Amino acid sequence: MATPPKPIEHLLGFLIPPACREEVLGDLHERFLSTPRYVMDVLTTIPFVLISRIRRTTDAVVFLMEAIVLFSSYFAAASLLDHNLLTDALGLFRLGLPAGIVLLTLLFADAYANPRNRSPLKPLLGPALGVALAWLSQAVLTGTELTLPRFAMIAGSSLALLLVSVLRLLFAPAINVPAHWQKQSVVSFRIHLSGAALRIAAVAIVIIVLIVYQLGKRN
Amino acid sequence: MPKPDSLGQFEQVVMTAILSLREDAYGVTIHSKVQDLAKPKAVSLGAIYVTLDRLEDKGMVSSWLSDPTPERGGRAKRCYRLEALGEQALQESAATAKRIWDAVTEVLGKDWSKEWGKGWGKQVS
Repeated sequence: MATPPKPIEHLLGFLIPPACREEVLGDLHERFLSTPRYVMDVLTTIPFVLISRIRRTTDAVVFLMEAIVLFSSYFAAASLLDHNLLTDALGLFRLGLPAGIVLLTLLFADAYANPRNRSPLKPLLGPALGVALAWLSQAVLTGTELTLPRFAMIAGSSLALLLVSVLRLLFAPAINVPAHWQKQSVVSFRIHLSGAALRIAAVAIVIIVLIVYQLGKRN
Repeated sequence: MPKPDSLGQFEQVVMTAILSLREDAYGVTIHSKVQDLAKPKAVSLGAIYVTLDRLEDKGMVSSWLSDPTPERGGRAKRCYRLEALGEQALQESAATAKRIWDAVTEVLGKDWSKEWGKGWGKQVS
């Protein structure tokens, strides 16, 4: 019986979210007729699977809260450190660019999260990766008018990282269940919080207060 | 039992496929059955996954992973079955389709409905 070439199967399998990789790769393996058709089959199936996974792992309300928190973080940093950014023609777009990159990273990080990984720090990996990619984008855009001043970027990213991490500890992204089930649950979020998560949230709040105090003092 | 959501046409087709496949309802077989039912429209495997996820979220179907098999490269199947809510929704959809058909037959007459039936036969074959 003909089977797909292992390297191609592994490579394309990597693009399928881990939560449904097993059954989707199995179905595609069973349908295998020729390698070009197999590749086409995988490439036409992945967008659907990914969209479905994003729909299941993303709660619209939490997503909106994250968007507001991210943009507010960079906006607050700019208003405290560099007022010119707020009046600049491209200012709001420049502030929205790193926020948008972090938001998109969170979306895909949740979709590609492995349900078997049950670490309590898992909700923090997405924001950390997002902020890292936002910095990378600033490096790529160096020399253009789209970058943020370094201090605004440092303060905005720190605030964004802390606030979004706290938000995600309070409203953990759904991994095994559709997000709306999580919202319909009558169990309050307080019960979902472990001791470690509560400690991290408390430390994060203290750090935020300190950062805001220090930034206020500078001005 | 909660009142089921109304079903879209494609959801009805997917649920009919699951119902008719019974214990053997998983991605590949559901796709094959849906293609038969939806002729002459072409249906992608990805569209089946999206619909199955949505139906599962609505509580119409449930799924579980079977044991891995060699013909799938040692991978498991995700099998599906209709839940009570899904059966109820499908029954309501079928009843609505029947009422529509009766109304059409009443307006156009039995000869027209027979001609329509012949047309469907040609489309499928």
